[in-house]
Amino acid sequence: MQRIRISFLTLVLVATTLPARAATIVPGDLIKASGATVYYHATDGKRYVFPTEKTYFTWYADFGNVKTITDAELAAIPIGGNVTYRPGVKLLKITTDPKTYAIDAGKTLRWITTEEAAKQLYGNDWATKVDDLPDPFFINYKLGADIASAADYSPTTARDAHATIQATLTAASPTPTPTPTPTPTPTPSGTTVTLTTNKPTAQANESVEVYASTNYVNGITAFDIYIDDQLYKTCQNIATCSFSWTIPTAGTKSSYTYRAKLTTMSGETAEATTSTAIVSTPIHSFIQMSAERTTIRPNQASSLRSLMTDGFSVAKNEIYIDGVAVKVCTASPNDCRYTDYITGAIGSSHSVYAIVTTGNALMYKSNTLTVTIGTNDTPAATLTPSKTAIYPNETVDMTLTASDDDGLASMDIVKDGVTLKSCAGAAPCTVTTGPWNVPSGSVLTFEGRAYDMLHATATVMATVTVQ
Amino acid sequence: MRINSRVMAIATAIATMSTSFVPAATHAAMTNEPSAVFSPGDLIKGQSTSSVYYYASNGKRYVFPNEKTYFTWYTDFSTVKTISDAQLGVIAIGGNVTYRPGMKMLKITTDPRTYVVDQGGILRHVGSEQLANTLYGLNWKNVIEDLPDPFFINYRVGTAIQTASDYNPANVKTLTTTIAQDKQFDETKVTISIGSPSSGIVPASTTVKKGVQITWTNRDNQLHTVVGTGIDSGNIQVGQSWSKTFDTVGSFDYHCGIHTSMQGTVNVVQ
Repeated sequence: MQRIRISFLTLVLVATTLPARAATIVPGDLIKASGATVYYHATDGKRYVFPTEKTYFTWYADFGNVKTITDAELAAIPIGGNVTYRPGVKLLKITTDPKTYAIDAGKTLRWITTEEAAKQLYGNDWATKVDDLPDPFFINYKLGADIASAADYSPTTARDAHATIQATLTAASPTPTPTPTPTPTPTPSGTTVTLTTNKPTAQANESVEVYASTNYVNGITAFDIYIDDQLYKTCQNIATCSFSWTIPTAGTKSSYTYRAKLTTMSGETAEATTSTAIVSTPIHSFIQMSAERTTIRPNQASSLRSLMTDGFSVAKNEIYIDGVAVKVCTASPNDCRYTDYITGAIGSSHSVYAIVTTGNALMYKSNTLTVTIGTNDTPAATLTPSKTAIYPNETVDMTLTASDDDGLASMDIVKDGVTLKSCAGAAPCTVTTGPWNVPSGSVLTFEGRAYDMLHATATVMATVTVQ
Repeated sequence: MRINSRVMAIATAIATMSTSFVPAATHAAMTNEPSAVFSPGDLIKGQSTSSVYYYASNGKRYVFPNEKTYFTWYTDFSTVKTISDAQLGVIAIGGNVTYRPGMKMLKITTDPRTYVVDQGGILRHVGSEQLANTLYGLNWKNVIEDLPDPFFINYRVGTAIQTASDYNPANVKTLTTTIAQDKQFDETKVTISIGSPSSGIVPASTTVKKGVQITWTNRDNQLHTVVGTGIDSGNIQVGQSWSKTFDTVGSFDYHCGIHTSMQGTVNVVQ
């Protein structure tokens, strides 16, 4: 057997005198540029690499039909993969495993389990037809069914079914499965892929986490996540795959679509998609915009407050009335207050919200309040818990204070629509609530209602965190 | 020793054009007495062959396609364990090792594009010289290595690097210090291969952390069992597996109930 080793790992064409000039190439051609390496040009417009010289000579007797193109033209053709041995021509083994394999359709290696079968298929000198496959190229093949007897395989049939390399790239399964039941998707039975993101909406420069998982328990070849069809993260050998990324600032996209694709070792695939919509200034629930009065008389001041809760920390806090910033807090931005007149006719409504800017230039918006100018203002009310955080099974006192120029009729402290305490008059109203037997991490929301003598109602909220 | 082995290995590549990566046979670096004691994360080689493999928790071995790939992960061959040829034959090839992320930039000879390597063997195109300069400094050209064409498919092309903030070589290097991290092997699950009576159980002795689930996979062509104190698999058919989680620290001996010469030990540590 000829054992000329021309090059390390890549097949190289020697002694070419062809000029490096553009040639018209069609799928199925062998191509090269100014370098010596030869490629197979396939119908998918990609070039396929011959990993070894021996692989080449299972397909071609010589280098007679190689077309030369320019380096730039070659560079523009992406590599599609590696060429595998032509089925039926040779036997393969790897140096560190005694098994001898025949090559079949679909780039499969089939272990010939007995010497008897090898003799019947390849003759008494079958051992001279065995090539050593270098370890790094083992994964270019799949493992197929064993060949226990000569009846399981025919070298001639396998060879004749693969006249061209293209036939191995598009080949069907070697052993057509009996009566393939039509299924709506190629998904392995019962296999699901779940893909979630922690931020269905986000803004530029914001960090987003994406998490994929599957219930498939057997071998996983690849678990890939794509962003807008570009591979972003690949996981192997594991049933979960996650990453966090930052929404690009340069982008003009209105959303990014994530797609998780699971490929099992048996070649089946399953997919799931989800997405993040890009918004300019998303609403953040940790920004609490409140007004001391939501109905004010003309030329009455409404005290507005934009407060960061749950440890959310910002660099700048701006209060907006009808889209105009009326107050900018940078010195103590986590608690920004504005007390001034809101001008407007009786009956007019004014939207009030805050926009905060974080230390890394992300911008978030608060909830929007409506402040109405009326003939009767609502009471100025404050609901205060004795503790802002409690442990499970602890009690907490809630105190509601209110004042109104027209005098206060009554006050209620309410939780989930249930009135816990009703107080008549203007004296502070206090109730002991609990013990709260709720899990750690729960947030208790209380509501205070104050009614003035002219039936204007103020509603204020307060929260207590259970640690 | 390190310098010596590098010179030898390069000489090997040029002189013999050998295909899979073969370290220089520096006998000082490794003893050739076969051992049956190794664990996931170890480097292994066979007694009569010189290729080095990464042995993974899934019970498979991973090939270093070339020397350059190896030296992005290891500085020498001092930790390679030699096992018997029969034992090595039982261990299936799982795939190829790719470059350690952050160490080098890669290109192929027939395409001018330069790529950085991200976790999981993802190549990301670096769009400009300026960007390469920002990532790897003035001598960024020295960081580029040529990836042989046949190894290109061991990688996949991901999103391009648009700005320096998309990729930090030092960070990805720190986040991926082992091949297990790069390939994301589940190290709470360890597979042991059951070979033939002549090759035995592979590895015959292995060390795992407490709480790890061990799966025995029958890679022989006949029926086997695993039996020991607190271990009783029943029949494990050809190609089938049986699992048990080890929650207590200690040394657990077991054997095949049918072929009692096939013996193994699991050492469970904190």
